[in-house]
Amino acid sequence: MTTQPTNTALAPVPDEIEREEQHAVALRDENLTKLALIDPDLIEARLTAREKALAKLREVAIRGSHAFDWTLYKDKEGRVVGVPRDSAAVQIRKWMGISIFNYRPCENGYPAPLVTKDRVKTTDRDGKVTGEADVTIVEMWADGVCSLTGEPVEGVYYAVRSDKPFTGSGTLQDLKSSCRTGLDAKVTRILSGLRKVPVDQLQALGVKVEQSHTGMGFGTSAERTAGTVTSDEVKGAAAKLREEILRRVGGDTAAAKDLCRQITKGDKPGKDGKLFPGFDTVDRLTADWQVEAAMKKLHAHPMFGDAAQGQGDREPGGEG
Amino acid sequence: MGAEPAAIPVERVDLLSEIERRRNERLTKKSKGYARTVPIASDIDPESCRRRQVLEIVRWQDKPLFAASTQARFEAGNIWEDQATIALKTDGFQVVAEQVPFELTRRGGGDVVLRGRIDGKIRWGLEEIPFEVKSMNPHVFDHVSTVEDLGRYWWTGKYVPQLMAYLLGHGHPWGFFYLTNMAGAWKALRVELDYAMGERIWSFAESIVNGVQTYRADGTLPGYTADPTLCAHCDFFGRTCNPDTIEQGAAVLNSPELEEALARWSQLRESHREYEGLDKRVKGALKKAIPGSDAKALVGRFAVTIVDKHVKAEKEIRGARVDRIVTIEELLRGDNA
Repeated sequence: MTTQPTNTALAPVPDEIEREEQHAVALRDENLTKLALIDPDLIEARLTAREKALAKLREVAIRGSHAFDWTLYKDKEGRVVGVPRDSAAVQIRKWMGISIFNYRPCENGYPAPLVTKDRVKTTDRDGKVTGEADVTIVEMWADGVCSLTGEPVEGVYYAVRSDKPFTGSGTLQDLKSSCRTGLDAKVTRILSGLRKVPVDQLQALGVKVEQSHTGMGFGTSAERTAGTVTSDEVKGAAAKLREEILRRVGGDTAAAKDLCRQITKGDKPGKDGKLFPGFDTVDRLTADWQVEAAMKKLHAHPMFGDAAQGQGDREPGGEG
Repeated sequence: MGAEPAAIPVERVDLLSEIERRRNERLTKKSKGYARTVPIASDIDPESCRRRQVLEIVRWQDKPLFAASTQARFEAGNIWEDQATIALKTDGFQVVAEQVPFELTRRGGGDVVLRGRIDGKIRWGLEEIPFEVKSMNPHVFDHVSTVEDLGRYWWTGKYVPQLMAYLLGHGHPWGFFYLTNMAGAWKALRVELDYAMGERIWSFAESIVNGVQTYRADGTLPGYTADPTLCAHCDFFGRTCNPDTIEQGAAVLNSPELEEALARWSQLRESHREYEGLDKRVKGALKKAIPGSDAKALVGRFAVTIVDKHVKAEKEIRGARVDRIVTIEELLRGDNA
């Protein structure tokens, strides 16, 4: 028996995925309208045949995917859904005959994403402006068609920004690569209809969802700050941690932010060889393990830890 | 005496994290892009994408740098390459011409179209035989017993053209790979100079240089590859090169006979599996219980005879080949839609 992941720690489905759904529905309506003008009798036959073929192909594509090919989110109704990642999109395209072409804009006659720079204000968790930073924006458009359903889609847009999380070392070339794979995955999700697959369906088709990626860290900063991403349990633990940090630094907010960064920074360098610098607020912690790890480091901190404060191994609040 | 790396008191830094951090930092610093000026022997598979080969020269700076883990793998490869030469010398072989560079020029003379550097040659009688050392993951090593087996993985597929280029460049009719699993096991594979492949490699190298010249003249790149599987591990894909993604999709075969046969196949499959298992178990048990040639026995209502049957020796060992494997999965049992 497989265990279903709890949905408490999952982020909501990102807005761009929600928008893809609207895009796909509009697309279908538009195509049906066009078809009705040609021969209204064709609609029913075509719809029936297409839905049957699609249902089977979706099933095969899901069966052929791995748990790691999916990211789990929580939808508006609170259900856990899987969104296919780039790796799943590759298999889905092969089964469903999804072609993507007319990449644009072009540079010297060859498709190349549009690269622009922007200067944005940086803010802390409280929304206070802390300075300015350069941001690189990489944008691309493409058209697509599903050879099995005949469904086309035009002018699909995708963009990545250097100030948002993405896979890669952060170089312009990596941003470009991420933009291309993101665009391909987006077209695939629109044309395949595999955007938000209920976790029950994934499990029924043999995907071990407990091994899937979870959408933690997604959602907007505002959502995370508001706590919509984080479970009540985690929020409670994070609040305790905040109190404990503030107590140990004597209420000095600057020192509290610095201490928070120290106890939440990464222990091991990532794939890019860089250490995660840590969060300056506990509001950024969205999982229980993050809070636990931070609390542990707080206890062991050389300056603000238990030993330095003469508390031994006692838990915060257990001073009597 | 080296300076302390940072002002942070040593006792506040976790030793194990610091070991990993310094190692990653060192490896990351060593990972640098380098400008390729002409095609190189270690990447001259004539079946590779010509567009990529041109980009390797004209847009080399667009490639991502190697991750620390990949750089570490290269270091391990270098260590084992050195180790191979040391071991060969220790075993009494005369290794000459270590890391000797070679060049192929355009046929009929002219500019250089291919460069390479051979790991070494062994003096054997009157010959000096080129060899190339390759270190590989033990799992891959176990699957490579012949030169043809190197075609099994996309990254080992480059090895044969590489050695072939060396044989061409050094004008020797044969050479060998010296493979190691980096865990103490070694095997040598002989490679004969294949003139047809040599011709393809040379022509391909010339065509790459032509492509570079065209790009530099008017910015035109060679067309996209006809084999999209190559894009899956191309460093330029999505960065400098954005080919269309064309997928045909699953073929929908409308054959009631075939579907009926598949339904029957599906129906019998479980019984077949059970039969196969039982057949092996029952006959094994009978052979054990009834010794001797032309032996007979009764088991309940079953009469059993066991005879010796001579089996011919295999005439030749089958070489590596590519089989088309059919996988059939029943989607919805009983759904004929």
